[in-house]
Amino acid sequence: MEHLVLFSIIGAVLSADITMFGQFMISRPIFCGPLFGYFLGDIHTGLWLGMIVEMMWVNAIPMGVSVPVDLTMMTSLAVIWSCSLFQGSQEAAIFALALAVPFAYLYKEVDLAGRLFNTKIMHWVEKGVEQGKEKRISQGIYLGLLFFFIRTSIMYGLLLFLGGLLYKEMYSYLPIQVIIALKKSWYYLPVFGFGAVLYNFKNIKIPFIKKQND
Amino acid sequence: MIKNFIFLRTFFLQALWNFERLQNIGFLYILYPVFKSLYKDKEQRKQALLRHIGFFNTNPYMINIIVAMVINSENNIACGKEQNIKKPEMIKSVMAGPVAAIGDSFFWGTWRPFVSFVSILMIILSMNMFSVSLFWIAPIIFIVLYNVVHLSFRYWSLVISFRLNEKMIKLISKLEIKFIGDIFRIIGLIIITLAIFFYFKTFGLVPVIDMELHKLVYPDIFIYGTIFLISFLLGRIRPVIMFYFALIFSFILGYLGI
Repeated sequence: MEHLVLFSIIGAVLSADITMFGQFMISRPIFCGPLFGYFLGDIHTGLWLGMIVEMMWVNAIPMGVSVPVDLTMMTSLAVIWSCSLFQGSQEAAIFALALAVPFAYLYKEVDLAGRLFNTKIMHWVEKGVEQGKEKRISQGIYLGLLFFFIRTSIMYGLLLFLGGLLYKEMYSYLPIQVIIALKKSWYYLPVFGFGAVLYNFKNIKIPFIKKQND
Repeated sequence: MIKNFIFLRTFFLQALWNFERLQNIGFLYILYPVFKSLYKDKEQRKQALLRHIGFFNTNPYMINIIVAMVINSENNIACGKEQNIKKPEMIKSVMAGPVAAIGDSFFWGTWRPFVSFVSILMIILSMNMFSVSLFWIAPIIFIVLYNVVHLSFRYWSLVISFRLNEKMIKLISKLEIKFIGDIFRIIGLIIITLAIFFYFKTFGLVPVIDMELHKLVYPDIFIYGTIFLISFLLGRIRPVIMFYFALIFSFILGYLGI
């Protein structure tokens, strides 16, 4: 965990891609998982966890006012914990993911509060424009980004550190049956993911046939 | 030059996303440099900015179409060719919903999952056929493939919308996005089916009978098949429930010694 600050900053930059800036998909688990895995010398675990999250949460996208769970944080926490504390252990990686899921949902609440705070900045910009202070438009945008970056980096730092301690402690007390089950889950979870992905195709239409029918 | 500048600014559309007016300040931020050159008089500029401060929401990938049309309209107002100062607002409110639906359904509902499936197939093929050292290819393919289409579309849509203006609506309707989406969904289904096949081939085939123990051992293909069926049938439930259900299911299998 010696790169805690660096990983918190990288994590915040990746999470910003979800809604705040760009949407280049660098926030998707299939990219950020192996990225952190590569930094920690275990790209395999990163890729595997990223693949599981990508498939199971295939429909989690920020549409309209819906705020989805931060999959970037979920994957990043799991990969960083498992690769830095129990590198190469499949069961430890799955346990890290099981622990990262509630933390990601916890972060969603923080994110919601942050977006509510954005409303206050928006009103401040609005008043500024009414008074002829046009610079507030750019300032509002940069403030929005800055507050997002600060709150997300702090959350990454806290969760990486405190969650990491919790993860290490809990993992050492797991009974052997649970360890065996976690090892099995390493192979079973992608299959659950495949099922979740295929469910999306249940209403698929073949365009050429449809054209003929028309 | 100004088009490139606007193009870069469109990436900030959601930087001040808020529950009350969603992307309003982001939209103002994109338009501001254009307004500065269109309306030299500060009061006129203020009125123009206030016209666009209201609620606004669309798919961020489709914003360039609306931005170009609004700029064209504002340009006409500034030059005196257009008398109806409410036209830019009308363009925004009329266009935002339909283009957002296209963006959501194509980019987020079809293209992103499609590229994910290609990467997932690459991961599984790396384990099955290629070397594990080729693992890094999958995320690179994902990011490059996705962004080649995404960024090209964003830039193209900005440039072409400036040129075509309101005729852009006709062009979008002719694009047959739904038809293209259906084709990608079918290719995606084939890709994910291949990924499942290679996954089962790699991890799901063990001998049915363990000769040393002289007992029937559940073949993994049976277990994987059952999991696959359950997950498909439970596809409607929330992913987080599915995830913990999968873990509990694994515990049960582990407890039963399967």
